[in-house]
Amino acid sequence: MRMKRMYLGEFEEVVLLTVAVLHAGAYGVAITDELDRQTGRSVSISAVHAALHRLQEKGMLTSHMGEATAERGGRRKRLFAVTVLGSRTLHDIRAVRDQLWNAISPQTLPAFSL
Amino acid sequence: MTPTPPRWADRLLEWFCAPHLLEEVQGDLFERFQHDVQRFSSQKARQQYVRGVLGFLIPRRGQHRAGLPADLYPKPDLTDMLQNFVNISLRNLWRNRRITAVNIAGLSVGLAGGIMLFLLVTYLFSFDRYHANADRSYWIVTDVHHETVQPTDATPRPLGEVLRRDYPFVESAVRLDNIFGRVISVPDGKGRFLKKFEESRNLCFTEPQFFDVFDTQWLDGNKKTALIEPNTVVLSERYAHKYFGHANPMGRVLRFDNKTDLTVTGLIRNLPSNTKLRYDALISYATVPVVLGEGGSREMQSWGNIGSMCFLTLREGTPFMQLLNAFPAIQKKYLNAEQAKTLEFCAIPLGELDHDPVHGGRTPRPILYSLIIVGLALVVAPVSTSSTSLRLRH
Repeated sequence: MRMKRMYLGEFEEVVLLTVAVLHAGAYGVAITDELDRQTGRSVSISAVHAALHRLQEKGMLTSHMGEATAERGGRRKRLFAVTVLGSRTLHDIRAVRDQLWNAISPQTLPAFSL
Repeated sequence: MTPTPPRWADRLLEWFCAPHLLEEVQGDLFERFQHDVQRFSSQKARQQYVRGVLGFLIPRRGQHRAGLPADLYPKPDLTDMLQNFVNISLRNLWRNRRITAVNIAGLSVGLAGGIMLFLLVTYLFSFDRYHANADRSYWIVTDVHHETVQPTDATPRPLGEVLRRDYPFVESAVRLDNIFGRVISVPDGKGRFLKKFEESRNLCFTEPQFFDVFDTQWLDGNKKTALIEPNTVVLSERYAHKYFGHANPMGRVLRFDNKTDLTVTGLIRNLPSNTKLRYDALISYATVPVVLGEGGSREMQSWGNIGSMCFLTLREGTPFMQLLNAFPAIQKKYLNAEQAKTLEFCAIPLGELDHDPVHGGRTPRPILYSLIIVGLALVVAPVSTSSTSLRLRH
């Protein structure tokens, strides 16, 4: 029923989702900051860069160089966007998760522990 | 003045960062720096900047291969190629892991065995070659001709002295008597003994010239005079410790076979293991007549009794034949008719001491050579068989 899915690490998945959240404005610093805001994880820019390039290699992201801005000292930023493959992979992951959650009876994993 | 990131960190980044990634990386770091200046302080911002640059130094998967068009980074590094070779070979090794395991095990066992054999042969070939005069030193032996030829490892006692005295081309000659099964005891100074040891093989009687022919390292005492007087002895460190513990052995007295006293006049370092003359107590040759007791001095002059080992060093440039030619003259001059018929003197180079099986050598050359061949086979065989198995697979 399902094609063999591309492997995604947990961090890669979160980064990929963050790129989707930021939509058109996804680049290194913005992704790092958004990650911090959304998940409370403070990660280094270099870790995010490495993950972005890995995702691009796997074909889940495309990128192009954006405008040069003064706040970057006249340097351009690389803007990332989720590809069809990336989007499909994320949906697949979510489907698997949902399927598993639906199969769990509510008493097994109470939301609040006593 | 607007704060700027540390120059050295920027330089470092520009140096190691892949050129096609530099703009976006530096831009991101700079943007973060500007934010930090406003949020915290310029000092904290600079700290964070350095930390960010260092973060890119940590090797992470995906950092160097960003999947960008090839012409952005057209020249691959030499290391990329080497890395590729390593990858391919590791991949192949892992794919054939059973063969790899057998090959590596075989190679390492073979190589280890080969190296061990070479070390062993090198060691066995080093016997008594380390002395400074080894290349012009010889061991004199006597072959006794009766119905059969009986090789011995010694000479009549007077021979060494005659060679030293009458032949100017002999730089130095030394006589040496082995001692077997004698008791050495340590007196306590009150007419009794603290310790008694039965000694064999490690003791000898020898002359001061021993130290001309053979290299020894002296810790105490005079190597020219230590063994001139009767009843003197030179000890190795090992034996000094055995007899006297940590006390200074110089001038102390040992009792030899409860016959005579020996005064310690010298202390030498332990002789190395690659000598056949590994003595720990060298007793002066002048003590021999004392030990022999009555008739001792006659015995010392007897040509009929083959009692002393003899070693000599020729003067530099003396041909070996000159030494061999001296022997018939000595026979004529000193031996009586019957002795002259039966005794024949020979000289063996010092380095061959242990390679002459007829005269008690333990490691004849043919055995050492075959060990070398076995060692070579051990090293070469696994290589050739492994390549054969590879060819078979193809």
